Amino acid sequence: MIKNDRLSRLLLELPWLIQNKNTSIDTFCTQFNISRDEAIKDLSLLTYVGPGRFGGELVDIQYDDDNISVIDSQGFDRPLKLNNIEAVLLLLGVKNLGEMSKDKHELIDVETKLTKLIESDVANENRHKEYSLKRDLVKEAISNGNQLRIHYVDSSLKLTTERLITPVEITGLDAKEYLTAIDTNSNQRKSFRLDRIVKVIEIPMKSSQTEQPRIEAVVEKIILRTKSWNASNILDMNIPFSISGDEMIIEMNLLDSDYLLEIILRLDRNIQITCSNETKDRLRKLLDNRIKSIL
Amino acid sequence: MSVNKSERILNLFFVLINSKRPVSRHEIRQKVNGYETCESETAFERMFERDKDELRSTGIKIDTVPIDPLFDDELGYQVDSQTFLTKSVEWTPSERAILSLASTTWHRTEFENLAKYATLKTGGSINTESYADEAESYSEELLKFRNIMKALNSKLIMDFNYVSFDDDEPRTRQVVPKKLYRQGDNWYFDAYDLESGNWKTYQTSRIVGEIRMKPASNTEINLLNKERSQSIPKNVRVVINQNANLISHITGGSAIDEKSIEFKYFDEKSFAKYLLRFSSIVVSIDNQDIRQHYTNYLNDFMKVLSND
Repeated sequence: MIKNDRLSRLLLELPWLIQNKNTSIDTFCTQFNISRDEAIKDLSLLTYVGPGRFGGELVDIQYDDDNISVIDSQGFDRPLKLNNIEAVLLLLGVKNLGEMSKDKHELIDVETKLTKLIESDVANENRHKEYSLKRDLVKEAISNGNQLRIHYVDSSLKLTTERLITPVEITGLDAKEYLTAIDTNSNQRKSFRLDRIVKVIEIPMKSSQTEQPRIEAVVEKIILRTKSWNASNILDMNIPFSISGDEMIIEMNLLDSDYLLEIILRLDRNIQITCSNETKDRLRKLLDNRIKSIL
Repeated sequence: MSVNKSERILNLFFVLINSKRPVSRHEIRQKVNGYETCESETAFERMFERDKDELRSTGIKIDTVPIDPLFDDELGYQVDSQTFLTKSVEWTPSERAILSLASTTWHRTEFENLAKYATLKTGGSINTESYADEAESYSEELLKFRNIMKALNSKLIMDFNYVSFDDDEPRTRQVVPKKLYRQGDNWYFDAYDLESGNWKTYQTSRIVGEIRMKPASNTEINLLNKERSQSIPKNVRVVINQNANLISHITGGSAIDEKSIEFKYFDEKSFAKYLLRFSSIVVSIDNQDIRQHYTNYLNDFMKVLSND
């Protein structure tokens, strides 16, 4: 336990009792890992402290075998702040829970609050706020069965034109949240990364469309081989990969050449790319345009 | 009846948090129950100094300030409750339950008590049910964080392989860590790099393999007090072909107008490598060195695609 054991505990006990009204002595003992005798000693001491020496200036706690009630906390009515290391420990604990749990909505709220405690960047705080508002709006549309009009930043960082979608559910994968929705244009189910939805408006209109089965087009298979340490460069992309010895292998279907190029550019220059000559030509052209256009 | 030490320190705490102005030593001696038994001024001074230190060790900040802002001849003591009492964070019951469960991650580790105390600070309950005797299971990532926290807490030297943006393979680093934090989706720690003798910021996900640890000497621990003067980030403006206001949050920079994003960076070459991932939208970079490195990288990848 940390140094100054009893004082630290006493400073935790009073605000905890305020937040956990009418708790029993047994619960109190369990929470603070103390014996009944120690609990009584702590409670008794707390009733002798305050900014003065007389009745009205002392903390007032009433307790019996079943209940402990704080009547007057003498201004100490809010919990102590979490320090940086405590907030980090809890944040990592929440992150660990996230790896084991499918339902991440509530975890993400807690994560956001804890993150705010250890981030001093105002820009990030504003982003968290905007993100929460956006998520609330999407959740509301899902529960109302309404549609959404959105603008989206696609995988190659281009803003897509406005599209109308019927939101289905928000799911979490690693640190990111995704919105599954039916795109009313194609009537197909699509997945949108929530932080990449940049404008969203709820449309009070129920969807009458039904989802069409996805037509599986024949797509080219791409294999990328590189050193395993490159994994840290693509973690945020949620691309499936496997590690074999010190080699990382990414096997994927080619859906978008811009996206494929973005992955390649994140890896090291000793990468091995297995794809058709046509795809390589396309990638070279894209890269050539980027080299020529940079000012 | 004599007042015990914890009681006296708590009385001091209550006197300070209930006063809207700095409290002088004389007033403290008179008001705080427990100081009246001091036989001399010197005995009181000694006891008061010890009590202040004890309160400070629990995280409560006590400032010494002039009682009258216009004259600094008499000093008083005050605590700013905002610095240690929670204001903005309100936890719902279900969030408290999550925090309680989250703290069990540290069960049977050196951080068990800190995590328990953190839970109690949020008003949550300690989750005793999930303390079953099952085997500890930590993901590789959590183990990495645990080692970083251990090094931070016990002032250890971390020895690990790290791949920065411009490295072609991981390089060994030996550092004394100072602070672990999260920015956006990534976790970072600031540390003193023993090889270069500079402060550096490391992204945890770029550590490759295990972290080895060894005790730091006093000289090495003292390095943590060195100023971070050499590591002030530089700014670069990047013009893009998309609406910067709408997508800057994905890039890690800040929009400065509709088409420009300002980034902070430390090293030109590393930043140029980072910028490659946004090459589909980059139009111009207002820094010659970064632009040169960036173009070199693109040309290197062109060679990769031209092989075979």
